[in-house]
Amino acid sequence: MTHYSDEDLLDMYNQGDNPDYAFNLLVSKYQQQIYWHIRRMVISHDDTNDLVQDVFVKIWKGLDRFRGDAGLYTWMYRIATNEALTFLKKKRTRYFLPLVDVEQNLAEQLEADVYYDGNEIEKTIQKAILSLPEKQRIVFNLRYYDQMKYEDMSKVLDTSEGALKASYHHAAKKIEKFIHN
Amino acid sequence: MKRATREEISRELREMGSELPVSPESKGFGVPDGYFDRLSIDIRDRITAEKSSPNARPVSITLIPRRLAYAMVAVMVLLAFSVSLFLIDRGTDNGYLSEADHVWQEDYFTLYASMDPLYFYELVLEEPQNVARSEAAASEINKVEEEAILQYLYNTSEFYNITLEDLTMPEEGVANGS
Repeated sequence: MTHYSDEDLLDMYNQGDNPDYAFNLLVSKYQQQIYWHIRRMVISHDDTNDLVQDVFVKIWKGLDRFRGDAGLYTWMYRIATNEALTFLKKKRTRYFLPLVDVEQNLAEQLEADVYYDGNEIEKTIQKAILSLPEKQRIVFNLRYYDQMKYEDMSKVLDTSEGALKASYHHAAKKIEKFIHN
Repeated sequence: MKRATREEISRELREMGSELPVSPESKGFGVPDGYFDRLSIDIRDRITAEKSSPNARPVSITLIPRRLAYAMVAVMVLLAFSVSLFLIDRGTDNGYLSEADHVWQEDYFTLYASMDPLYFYELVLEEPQNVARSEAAASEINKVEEEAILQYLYNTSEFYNITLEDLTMPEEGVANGS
């Protein structure tokens, strides 16, 4: 399968004869990354499935107006991050759950998830990650799992690289402390 | 899209003294068989449905009579102005959209950071080195988002003569003001 750069895909979408084909290529290129990014936040496969589709619909709707001043990849991740955070916020307000209970709920979902096949260490790390504040959780996931450069993360989260590095370091320390306790 | 290499991630973890394993290949989370093959089809179907929806695309302004378009814009501007007045004047002391929260945060950070910025930072880590300090202050600071404090300290690091290394790898006893 030919791998197209983001610039090529945008050109194909904006100037090509078949923008739908270009968009399908975009989906194929990024669907897994977007899926896993959201999944690590919301845990449930079913919730993630709904959100991923919502994200790509939003991407499709916004692609006409995308100017390319931010990278396509960071723009898409930003949409996905906001969707996940909005989902968690709605979950909190819908069930009147205080912050702690939502994370507890997610940890319980992790235990019960039929699609989770990680070992005990990985599960413990996931629970530790769930104990972090939401944004710090995102920072940790993006760096540790997605290996995102701080420069890109800064554009996704609209936060300085220095603050992100500090946040990531804190997150790693907290996770270790959680594991040792 | 260029990612950081696993070596970079590993080196970063080692430099901060972390014992976390470098990100394993397996994420632990699984998906139903063939999920990603179907996902792209599901997304395509959703978009097809969006296209067929009467609200799929905004109505072109050129299809609306000009006078009506101007009237609609004027109404929207008036409405937005009224709502903003409402939000500014109602709610909390200075309104839902007030800058009060940001001002409070800035004043609060300035007050405690000027006393001892790295102690202030230790409070963020919830491991205050000097428990003789006001515990009420510690409790208040812990309620504030950690990210906001870190961002503040980073932004003012030159002023307080803090380096990034101080923020990422604090040493013992630094909260005593030394």
